[in-house]
Amino acid sequence: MLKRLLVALPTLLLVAASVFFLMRLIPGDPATIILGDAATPDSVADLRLAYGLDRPVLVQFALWIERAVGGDLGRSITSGEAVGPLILQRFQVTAAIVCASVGLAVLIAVPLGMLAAWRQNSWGDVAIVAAATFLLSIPSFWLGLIFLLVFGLWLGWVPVVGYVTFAEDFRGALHYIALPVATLALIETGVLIRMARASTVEVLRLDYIAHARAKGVPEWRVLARHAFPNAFAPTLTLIGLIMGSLLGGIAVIETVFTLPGLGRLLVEAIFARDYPVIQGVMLFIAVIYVMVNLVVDLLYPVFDPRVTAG
Amino acid sequence: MTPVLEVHRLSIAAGARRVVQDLSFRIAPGEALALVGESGSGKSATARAVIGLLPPGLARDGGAIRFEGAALAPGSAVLRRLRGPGIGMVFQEPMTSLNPAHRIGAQMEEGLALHTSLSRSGRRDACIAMLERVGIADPASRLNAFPHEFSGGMRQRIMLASVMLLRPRLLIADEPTTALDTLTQAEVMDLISGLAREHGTALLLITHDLGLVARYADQALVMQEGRMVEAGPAAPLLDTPREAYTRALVDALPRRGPARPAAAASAPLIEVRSLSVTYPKRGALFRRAEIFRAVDDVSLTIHPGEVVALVGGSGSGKTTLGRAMLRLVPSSAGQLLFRGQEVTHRSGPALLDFRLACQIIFQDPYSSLDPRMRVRDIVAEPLRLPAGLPMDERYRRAEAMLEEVGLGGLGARFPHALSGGQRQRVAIARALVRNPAFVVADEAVSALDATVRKQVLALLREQQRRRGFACLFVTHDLGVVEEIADRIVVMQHGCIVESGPRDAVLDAPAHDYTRALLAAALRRPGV
Amino acid sequence: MRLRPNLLIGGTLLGFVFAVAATALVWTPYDPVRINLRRRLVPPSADYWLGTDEFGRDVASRLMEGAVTSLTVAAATVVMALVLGMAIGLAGGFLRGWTDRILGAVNDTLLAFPGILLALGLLAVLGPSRWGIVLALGLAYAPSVARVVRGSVLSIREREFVEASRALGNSEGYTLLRHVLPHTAAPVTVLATSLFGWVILAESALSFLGLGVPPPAATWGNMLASARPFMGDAPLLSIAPGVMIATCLLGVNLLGDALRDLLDPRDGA
Repeated sequence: MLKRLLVALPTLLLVAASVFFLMRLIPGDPATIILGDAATPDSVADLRLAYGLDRPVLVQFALWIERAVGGDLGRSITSGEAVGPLILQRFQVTAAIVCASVGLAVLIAVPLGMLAAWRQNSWGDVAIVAAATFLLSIPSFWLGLIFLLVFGLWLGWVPVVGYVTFAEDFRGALHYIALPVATLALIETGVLIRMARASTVEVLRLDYIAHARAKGVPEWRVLARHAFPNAFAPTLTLIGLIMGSLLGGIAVIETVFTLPGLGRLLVEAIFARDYPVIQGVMLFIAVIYVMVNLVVDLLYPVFDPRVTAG
Repeated sequence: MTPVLEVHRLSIAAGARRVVQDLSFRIAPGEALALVGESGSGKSATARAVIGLLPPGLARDGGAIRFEGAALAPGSAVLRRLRGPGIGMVFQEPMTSLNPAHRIGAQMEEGLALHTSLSRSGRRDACIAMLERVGIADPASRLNAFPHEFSGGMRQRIMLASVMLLRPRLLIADEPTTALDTLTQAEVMDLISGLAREHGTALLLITHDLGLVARYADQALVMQEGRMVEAGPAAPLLDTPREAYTRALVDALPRRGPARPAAAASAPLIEVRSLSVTYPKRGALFRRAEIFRAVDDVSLTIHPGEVVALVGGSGSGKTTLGRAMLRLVPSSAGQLLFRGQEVTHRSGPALLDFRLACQIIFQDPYSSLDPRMRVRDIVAEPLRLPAGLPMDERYRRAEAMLEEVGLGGLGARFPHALSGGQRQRVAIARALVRNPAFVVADEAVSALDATVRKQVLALLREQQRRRGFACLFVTHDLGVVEEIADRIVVMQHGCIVESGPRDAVLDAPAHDYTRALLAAALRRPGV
Repeated sequence: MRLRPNLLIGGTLLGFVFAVAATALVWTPYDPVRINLRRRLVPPSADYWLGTDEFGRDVASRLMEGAVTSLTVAAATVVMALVLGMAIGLAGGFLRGWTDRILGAVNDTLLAFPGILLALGLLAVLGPSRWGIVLALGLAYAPSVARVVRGSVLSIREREFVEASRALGNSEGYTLLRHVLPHTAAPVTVLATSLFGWVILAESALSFLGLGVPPPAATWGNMLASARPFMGDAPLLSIAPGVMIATCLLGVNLLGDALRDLLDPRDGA
């Protein structure tokens, strides 16, 4: 496991470098941009000194990394808040939605996918696959809009805007989170069903399944104890990818449901040219994604012992 | 006495195609019956039908199967209950026969937990005892191991143990040793036969290997394209077959021809001096990786026109040596000489000369031909080099070559439209079209059915006699060696352990390993 | 070739979208950008088949123009991602050694930015524009293509007919072009269809956020964005563009499935 972490470090470094130098691609002097309207020759010079902008670029990069590792990601140009705590606060919202929707989707999709594979080419199978394909073709933000329209405006079951954290009001928070989670979960279920079905079909073809049946093992046990662990491993990898893709594109759902999450923070920062925030969020999401993949890699041997974690 | 198994006019279909037609036989308690046939004969489908595990797409559509007198309808509850304690089955592929996600102890205990009322410790003890019986060392601690920690042969034994724990009255063994190498084959078959006799289990053995039938079966039934050809007691059937097909199968067993005069007088064509091929083993990041010696300090000479058989079990290094001699695998030490000149490190145009003169025929007829190329393009491709031959001349020679190997007129076809034997002929044509001086045949007939194997070997022998190329025939099958070799070289663990003229090695083996290989090479009784 | 339902339905749906776009190139009922404040938010009628938006622009015409925009951006992006990705994947997978390690490190770094995050970052630098999106999304998806191509090349080069080509004396370059490359066609084609779908989705998402093709150009994404304040009054504005996106995606997915089934068994055994 230590080896895996060590191998991830160079990638993380390159990621940080990409983020840092990407922001430097923006034309213009960073200090002037940061100060915006308040830029005067004196204030610019002061800021350059304070931020170390007069030092060579690589030194600036090293300093930035050093501060970032310590948790200091600078300050937002628009609000002056410290970027680090701001990201963490917003991340709670994003994380809640992502985890809840993926969890829900897995619970629904895996059994359905396995069922479809077990009764391959039956009417049930065809129906499940058709439904899954249909679901995954719906754009998430559109589905969210439709849900808001139906359940929010027309039926009034859930509030249309707003948010409270779980800490403040658990039941209220559930109301706010219900629709975004349902929207995402529905679409992810479509993706996951197909994968679970495909890998289960592969597994059911193998000799050890026939061997288990030949021993007289009842069908439900064959599916649950023999097929499931082997079929789940590839699905696990997909789950990691889905979480990543959600993290990258969460801005849309958060915009539709006006949730104070990380995605919206990024988009607002892009419009406001708030570079420290953009940098901070990109770095944060990339690092989280690398961790998610690491966890997936570590969990893989639990389901497929042939793969060593090291 | 009621037969353990009675099959009466069984028919199995795959959609419109008939897989098994009108098949009848019976097995008495404790008896061993072998269902023999080549691929497509329907023998595997029959086995699966008996235990009720036909793959999707195949279905019984006629006849009856009775187990100890009781009828077994497809999908019936009676059949399901019988699986395990009544009928047990061992499968062919050791790599996929055990569930990679579960420890072997759990897999073995599962059957016991389902069908017996033994306590937890009782089950554990039974498993340990059976593991010991099948020859797994240190059984108590191995219970916690995963299947991928065992070799192919050991996995087959574990599967056998797991099945025999339930003391079935009928054991179906579907090509149980086909995927194993010669030595392991003999051991596992002895085990199956031995265990069956100990417990009075009847055995239904599915196989294409007549040698196995001779040794392990009481009764034999020959199948061809879904129908029974001939049946009866095993030994007389093989000694005096009545039907033409059975005779063809029996004839396909290797037999030794007259020895050819030694070619040692002429200068060596290919010479290997102290050659080693090593691979770094996969070590941890910070530990220095160990090296694995695939070929260890080997010296070998091959003379023009000579056929040398390179024999050994899996892991002996024979395949690696064959490839190293063609510079397809880099060597880590030693020299390779061709016609007296060193070619160990040649590259560029000088290497091309070497390549033009030395060719290889691969084992797998399904993956050695590019599926996107037509057969005549495959055979014409080698004629691209050396440059200068016009296209129509290339095709002319390719077509001529195809005629010679018996595939005249099939040049426009794609590989997937040809049978395994036909594809190997294409591979042979491709290798010989430039008239090489040296050919390595890497298990070139191992993947073929017995009758087809005989034909392809005959083709190789004829071409070798006509064109006079030297040949290194890499194989694990001593039977094949008998038919074609002038000299035999035996390898074990990367080193040559014995070498000599064919008859000398086969009749008076000097090394223990050679003796073991010979014993395991099941040959026709009476030969 | 059996006419599979996937192929039929997928082809029809996608064909419909392409037909709409093709028509839009020569004719739309009204000028998609022409504002007519006297006819704001008109419900569907004989004059305006799908009604008008908040600026009095004909929704049907804007949908049609949106088809052209989305399809051209998607096509350009897919081409870019394929070209870039294949070059990297082929080079790394076939040449191995240091080339593979360096390219792999670069690729892994880019892949560490999930989904459209990289595109968002690039757009922060480039600013929203039609070609900015193509560049941003092309760069964002090229690494996925590279990874698939590399994996495909790695498994193809292990197959014996590749070794056979080398044994015949053929050069590495010839072997790569004649034997390896044609076998990547199948997985790449399947990937290309999936890619097309992802890009359509990503482009509409970015446009929805306001970072995509800038107004007044019509794209399904920004139509949905501007329809939000009027959800209650004119729900059709929020429904129609989404239906188009979903139709396009469903068509692409079904077609991709059919292609996968068709191309798989033919290659090899």
